[in-house]
Amino acid sequence: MKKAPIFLTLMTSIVLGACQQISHDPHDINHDVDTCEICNMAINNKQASTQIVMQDGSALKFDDIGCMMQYKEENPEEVGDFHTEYVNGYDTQEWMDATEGTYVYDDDINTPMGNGVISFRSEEEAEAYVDSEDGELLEYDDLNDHDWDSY
Amino acid sequence: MKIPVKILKHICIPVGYSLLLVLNFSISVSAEDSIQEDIDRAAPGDTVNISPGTYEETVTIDEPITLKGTDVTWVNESGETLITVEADDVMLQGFTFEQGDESLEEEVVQGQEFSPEESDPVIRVTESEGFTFLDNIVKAIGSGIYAKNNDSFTIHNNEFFGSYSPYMEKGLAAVELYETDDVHIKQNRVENALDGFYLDSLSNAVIKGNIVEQSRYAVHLMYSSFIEGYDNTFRDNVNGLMIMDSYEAVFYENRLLDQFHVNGYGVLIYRSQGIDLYKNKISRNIRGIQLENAEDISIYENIISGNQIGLSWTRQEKDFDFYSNEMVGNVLSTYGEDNGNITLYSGEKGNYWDGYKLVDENGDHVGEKPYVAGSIYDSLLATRPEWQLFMNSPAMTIWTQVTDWLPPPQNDKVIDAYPRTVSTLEADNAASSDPGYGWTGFLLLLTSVLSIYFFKKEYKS
Repeated sequence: MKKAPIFLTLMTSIVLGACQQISHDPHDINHDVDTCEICNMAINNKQASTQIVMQDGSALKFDDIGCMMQYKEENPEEVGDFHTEYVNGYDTQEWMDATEGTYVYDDDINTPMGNGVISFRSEEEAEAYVDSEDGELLEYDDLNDHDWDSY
Repeated sequence: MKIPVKILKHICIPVGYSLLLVLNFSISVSAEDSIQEDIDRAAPGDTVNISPGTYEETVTIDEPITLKGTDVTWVNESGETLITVEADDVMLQGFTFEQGDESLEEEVVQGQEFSPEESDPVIRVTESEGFTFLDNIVKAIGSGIYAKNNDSFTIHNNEFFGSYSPYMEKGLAAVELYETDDVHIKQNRVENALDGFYLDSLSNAVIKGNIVEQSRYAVHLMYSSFIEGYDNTFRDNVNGLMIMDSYEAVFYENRLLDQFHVNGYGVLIYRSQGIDLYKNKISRNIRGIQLENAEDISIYENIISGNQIGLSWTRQEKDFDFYSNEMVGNVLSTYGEDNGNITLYSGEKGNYWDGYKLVDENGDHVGEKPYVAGSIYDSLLATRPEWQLFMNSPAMTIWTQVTDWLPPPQNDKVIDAYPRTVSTLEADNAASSDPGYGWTGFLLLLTSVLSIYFFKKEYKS
């Protein structure tokens, strides 16, 4: 009987450990240490930064949505390990699921790698930007066909 | 006839001043005047002299003039642009510009590199030809100089200071140029800027004799071409040279030192073509040189010493020319991924590697066996830098010796087929130091002998 508490503690630890949830929330960007997976630039522009959170909860961070698209193109074997792609709203500077975003492309939009694509939480916000500044509206599915080398 | 001195004063001084003004085509402005009004009054080619004092106004220059200050401090506490230049052949000389106060600095949000709310540059120049910025001091929370669509642009002998000490939270580039050709950036000093010199989509620039410290990137090239950089010192930044999506650039005789940030590089070349690095000193950086997706790269006659990793590459499909370099005292000399096409020599020219121990049997100062880069221990170090703590432990010494005797099979070996066995550094040191050491030794010996002789003589007597 004396061993019962030890046994119970062990079992509880194992059960709790097994039940631990992996978080797929976006990771914070640490401007001092985080660099882009593709171009190695420091990530210090919050509006343009993106990330892919993997199934295991780890994150791949990028300084520009163009770098994220390049990573996906160069590493097709990893796509199955992707859980969520996150982008930052240009106005809100808050993380959102990339598949739910609307995008604007324009040559004159200055992003860290010069790809000229920025993200908006809603189509209305993106349209408002295009009305005032000019640009081309893109949906998430259009990003794969976008000419990222055009700059 | 004798003219009274009083009358002389009343006549000669105004006439003299008028003559001076006419002859020098210059206008003087005192602290009580509006600089803008005097700029508006000036004719093309005039020099507007600003008297010593502190001024707070924003101006636009729309004709070719020289604006010259002596002991002039020009401030704007709300972070607006102080001078907007919209004309050709404008020169600004001798000012101290101070933009923003502490409360404004606190409002600068991290990462707003291109936000609409970002701080304005101190000087904005657009569509100008022949702009010169000379002998000024700029203390900024935004960019020092922001310029777009210009030609013939000179920035000489200025000092730029960012407002914050942690580089990520402060202003932008000291000099931020877009689509501006024929640029000369010489003898400037930059501290605490996001980038020292950010050059985007431009061609033909000379970057000479500048010092950039405690900033993010000392020189940041994007989509630029035909750049020449020499005799610069880039110290204690995140990166010394950040060359991205650019082509035809040459950097020589620069000092790229102490980029010891956790992601620090002396030089990072990304997706660029036709880049030459030679005769640079690249020392004490986390990585000396990093290549990624770069083509037609030549790296030669550099001293690459004391770095965590001397030379590294990732996603580097094309080979590069790497020869006549001194690889000394790097924790790891090289580290690379995807080594299929990589060699560490060019023609019959190799490099000096301080880790190369084989004997030069025929005396031609070239090792008979190739230098093989990257042992298993090196690979471990690259992924776990903390293992360098064991570098000189007996276990590592034995392991290294065993791997020398019985090399384990390695895929994609990267070799230097012509490793040099004599360092030019050693030769230089020997040439410059031997006579000095010899004479010093002789004098010390002579002093000792004489001391003993006289001591003995004294003792006997």
